[in-house]
Amino acid sequence: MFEKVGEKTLQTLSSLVDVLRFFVLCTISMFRPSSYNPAMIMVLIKQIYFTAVGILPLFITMSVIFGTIIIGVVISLSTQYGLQDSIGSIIIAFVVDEFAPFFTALLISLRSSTAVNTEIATMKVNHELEMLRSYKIDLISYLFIPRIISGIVSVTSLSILFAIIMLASGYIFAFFYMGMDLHSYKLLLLNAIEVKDMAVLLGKGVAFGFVTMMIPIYSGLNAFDSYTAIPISVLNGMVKLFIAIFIIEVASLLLQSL
Amino acid sequence: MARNPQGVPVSSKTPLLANLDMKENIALIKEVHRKKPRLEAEAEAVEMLQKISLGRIGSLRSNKCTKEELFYVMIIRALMCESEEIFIKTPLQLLENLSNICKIIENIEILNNNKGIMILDTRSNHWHYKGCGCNIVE
Repeated sequence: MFEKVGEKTLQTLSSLVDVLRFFVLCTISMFRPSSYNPAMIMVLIKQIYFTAVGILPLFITMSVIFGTIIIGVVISLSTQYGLQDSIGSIIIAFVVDEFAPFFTALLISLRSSTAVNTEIATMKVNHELEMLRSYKIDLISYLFIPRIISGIVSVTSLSILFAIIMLASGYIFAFFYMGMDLHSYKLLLLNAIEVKDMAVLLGKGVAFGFVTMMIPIYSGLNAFDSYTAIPISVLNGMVKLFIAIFIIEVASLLLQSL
Repeated sequence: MARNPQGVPVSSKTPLLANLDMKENIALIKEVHRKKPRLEAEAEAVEMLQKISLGRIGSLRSNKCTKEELFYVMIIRALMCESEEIFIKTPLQLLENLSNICKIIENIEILNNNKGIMILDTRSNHWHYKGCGCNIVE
């Protein structure tokens, strides 16, 4: 039994070291000018389009629905518990610091990370990755960096958009439930928002964006050379990705509480 | 080359990228290695395809092309590399049959810009290449 536990621990540690090595390699490549060429830039543009632009109609609809419902719940609970004075801070902390980046990361994971994981695993099974290596095309700069940058750009920008739409649609509830006019609602939010909130939103957007692409890429890259390995690779990748998202969420809460 | 120090391989292990069309597959090499602008590299790719009357497949993806057309695109892509030698490994794995191989070799000669092209095949397929105007080395 001890032998099995030890073996499993060593395996986990070894794969963790591998992930960290891959993380460092990708990060270094991202800042190397030689990684950027016309082919890579084309992939980057396509990826940003598929990840951030293609999702917009669904994303805007969901942010309006969530904005009205969740801000409504926050306002009615705050009123119920006599926290009217802190409504602005509560809404900002909940929407900007927590909900917008977390929900965006979940949506991008479900829509784009699964696609990236499947794409990389299929490319591996079809020998396309082998071909790129044979033709001296760097996998990191041609395939991985554009996807990671697109993840960072998409999750960060969509988080900001989500927060703005959510706060704006929250006014619908504030108007009908509390009879609040637009000017008062605007002042309530503007007085509550701080630089710290913007920093948290940006920081989480970048961290979530990085993992929503890096983990599926790594998982796809480690798929076995068989078509049946593709769904297994996606399944493993998604489990690891959700664990990583929760770790980032917890780490950010711990950092904010310091 | 790290994996192929002697030259560029064309084989079943070097397929075209499924998420790119034919001209993009060809242009990719020069975009990466020479940082050539996309439009210029793609124009050059279409020009090469037109040399063998395949200009129409430039914007098609792999699933819309025949095996022979895909084979030509793989050869053109290899010709775009800086390496002076190209190795075509067992063409039968890439083509449906070798009955048309002499015509294919003629077209390769039209495309070739003074690079050494070698076809590596099994002895059992030897007779397909007789009379094709290429040197057969056993």
